[in-house]
Amino acid sequence: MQFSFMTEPQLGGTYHDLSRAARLTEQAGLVSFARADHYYWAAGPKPTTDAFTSFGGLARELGKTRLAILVTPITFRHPAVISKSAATLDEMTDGRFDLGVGTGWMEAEHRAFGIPFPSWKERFARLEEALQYIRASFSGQTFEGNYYRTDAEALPQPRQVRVMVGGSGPDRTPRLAGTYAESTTTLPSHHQIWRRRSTRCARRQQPQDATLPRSRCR
Amino acid sequence: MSVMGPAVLAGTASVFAKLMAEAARFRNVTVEALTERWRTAGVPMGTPEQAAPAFAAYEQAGVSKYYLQWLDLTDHRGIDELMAAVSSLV
Repeated sequence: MQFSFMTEPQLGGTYHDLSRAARLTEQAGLVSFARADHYYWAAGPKPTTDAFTSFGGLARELGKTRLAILVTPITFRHPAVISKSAATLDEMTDGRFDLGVGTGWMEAEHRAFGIPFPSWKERFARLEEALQYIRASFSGQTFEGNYYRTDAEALPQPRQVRVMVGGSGPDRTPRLAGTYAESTTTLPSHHQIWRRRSTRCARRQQPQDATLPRSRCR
Repeated sequence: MSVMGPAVLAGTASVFAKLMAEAARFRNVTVEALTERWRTAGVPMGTPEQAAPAFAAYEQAGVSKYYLQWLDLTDHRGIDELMAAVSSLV
């Protein structure tokens, strides 16, 4: 079993609090240091930091621990920005960055900052397209979707950004993870449900963390 | 598959009790209610020895990584206690 330290900076904390926790994580020998990507919490605003920017700092402070954003809502940033930020962190960490993406869920946060918050159905559609966009961007491919498109040759291509899809839903999220990502994450009470789900994996590859057995990719 | 769940692990029972009290205060619930909620959800907690069977069960179910979720970044003492306990699991 590998262990990662997961932090929730939107509940309050400076960059220096984050840095202290990250350095302790490395000293303790955990495999990765993770943080959420929120600007606000429904219980009330607290001083907090931006996920990608703060990881730019931590990339220079840590030498062996992976960094993981768990997860970035695709409502916050265009996939071009997510891809470029991830590729930059990949370079800065020598391939130790894990990119988690999700639909976004906290409506109050979006409302407070004036960030558009589409319907649940549209957010899932956008998440799938964002994953396709990110995959295309990481491999020099083009992508045409209903919401996003790219024919840019985004360079440099990352060495090893591991894409992760997070969520607690038993159907769509595991399918998206099996199709477009290397790993998934869920809540303690949901993992058995996910295990039982049959997930169709378009990539027909064994995810790196054996989340979705190859037999489920047929 | 990875799982992300609350982390209240401590080297001793007395430190664990302090961390649980702080976790409950931060979530605005009683220690008893939080303990019951986490026990039902299968959250590993206690000393590393007490939590080890729960982690082993996750591993058997195909979970390869556990994200130990900590809410209060400003609680330096609590993070120190957690890291001291977790380092014995690594």
